[in-house]
Amino acid sequence: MNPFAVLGIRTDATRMEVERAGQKLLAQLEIGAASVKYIEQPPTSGGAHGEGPTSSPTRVERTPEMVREALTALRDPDQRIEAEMIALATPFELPAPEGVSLWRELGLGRTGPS
Amino acid sequence: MKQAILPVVPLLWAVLWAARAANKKSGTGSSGTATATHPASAALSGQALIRGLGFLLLPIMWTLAFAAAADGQGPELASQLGLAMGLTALCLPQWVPPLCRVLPVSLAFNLARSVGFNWARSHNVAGAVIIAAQSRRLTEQEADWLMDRLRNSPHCYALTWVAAGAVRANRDDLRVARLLYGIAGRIPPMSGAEPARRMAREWLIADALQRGAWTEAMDWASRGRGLQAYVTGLQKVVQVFATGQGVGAATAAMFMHMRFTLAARVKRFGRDASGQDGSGSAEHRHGSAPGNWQDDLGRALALHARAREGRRVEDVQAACLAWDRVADNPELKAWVRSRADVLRPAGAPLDRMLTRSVTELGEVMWRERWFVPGTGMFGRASDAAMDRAWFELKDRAHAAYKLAETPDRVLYSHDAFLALEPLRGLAEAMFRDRPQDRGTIFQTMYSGSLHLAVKLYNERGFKYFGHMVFHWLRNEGDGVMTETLRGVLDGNIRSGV
Repeated sequence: MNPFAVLGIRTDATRMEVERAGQKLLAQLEIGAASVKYIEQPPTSGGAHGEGPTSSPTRVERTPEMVREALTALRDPDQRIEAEMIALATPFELPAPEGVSLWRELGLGRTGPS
Repeated sequence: MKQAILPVVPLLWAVLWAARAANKKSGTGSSGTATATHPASAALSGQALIRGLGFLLLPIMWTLAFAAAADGQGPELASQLGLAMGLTALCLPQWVPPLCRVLPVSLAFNLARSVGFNWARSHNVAGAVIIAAQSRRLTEQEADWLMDRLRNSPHCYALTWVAAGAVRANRDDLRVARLLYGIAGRIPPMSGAEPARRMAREWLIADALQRGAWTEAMDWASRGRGLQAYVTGLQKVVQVFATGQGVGAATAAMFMHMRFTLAARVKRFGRDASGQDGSGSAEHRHGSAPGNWQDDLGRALALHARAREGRRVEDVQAACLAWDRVADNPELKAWVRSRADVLRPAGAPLDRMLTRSVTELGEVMWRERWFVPGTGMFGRASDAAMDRAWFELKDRAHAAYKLAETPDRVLYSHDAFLALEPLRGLAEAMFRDRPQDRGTIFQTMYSGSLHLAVKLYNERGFKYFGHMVFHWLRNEGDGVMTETLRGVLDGNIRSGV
């Protein structure tokens, strides 16, 4: 899941804002605050890189491990830029796939031991 | 008068028998391991014989019928008239399709075959299957029965692909039909194959128009003549009107048809001017202008998520192209540079994301055994992955070689295609992605491919397929094969079909 979604912050958040949001979430999860227990995901189809192909709003349980991983990711400039790119990508709705692959149907796929 | 009628029936059957016997005379050439030979063509084809005798008999029958009518002989007139009409229906090919609509499929097939629907030099089994398949809605058993006729045919010409496609299309198996028609449509321009190519292209254009895939229709139309493209498009518009899909749909179809024909002509003009051939799929082209980077990235992420499921090779291909588009997007590069100025990353985040993405897609393709040219998987593959590719290529070439030695009749068209296509797919993907290894790739794969193609050409009468492989090897081996091998392939190609 995208670190910005885990921490519930915008992509233009400063480093200080990231740290503050992360520490606050950890404290709230520690005391069992119900308001931060779930992450409300907007409809998205950006399913690559661990986000999952979803097309309707979903609720994902937020854990302290997820928050710590998000903080670690956003402290690293490389990972942060990548997370920003993915967070800013326009959700894209794919049409439903049409059946199985022609290659597979005609036996052109697996022809040897995998 | 009855004495004049009676000899006609045995005479008619004698004509049919002679025609069938003449058909069987078209023999096969000698076998070989690397050289294809062309059979001597029959001096008089069965179709020509039956048509000639049919048209000789028809005037006699109708003259006798008119004579009976003039004499006022009621019963003789009825029998003479019925016989004349029956013979006319049998001997005029144009009458056969409507007649086939009311006959059982086996009778329709045999009638069409006897009359000689052969379309140039293709064997008339395929022509008869096409007529039978187009005459009615086939049941599963009828479709199997017709496919058995194709499989048992001693010859497999280009029209066989069209016939198999017609049967699959009749059963609404449009995806397989598209593939089969596509094979016929991509046969290199050669004498004799043009009718099959034309029929395949017409079907593919109509199918693409039906789906609204204008780029694809344009691509197929640009391989044919302008008038043909125009007529096919016009037929589609008429069909929309006739089926009552609404004025809006008909108007839209009309406008799209105009756009389609105009674009096809512009494209053909451009192709003629640049001297390019008609090969290459529209699906593989992605040279359009880059869009908004957020949109491009969103599309790539969505396609990537679907491709990772590994259900369809088309999804992986689309995801690869989408990532290529992301990688080429100047706006995204500029945005990453601007963020890098602020955050000071140690590496290149965009490159890292792209590398990880294509590696994932490559793993999906390895897992599913999909080797598709144009996806760039071998250009990005690691050394370990390339080692696996070499073993795979050797295995497939060896499998093709062994299949050529199969003594039974398993090697009909579909099986041969299934045997050679994975080898060709893998080799072409490696050729395109690893140009520095062309010589080694060609050396690894040519022997098995050539052996199978020659066996198919010489011993199975599967000439178009063999010819295609000769062309393919000749093109791919250009610059990396020996002069001896080049001479062999040139000789095989000159043998024609």
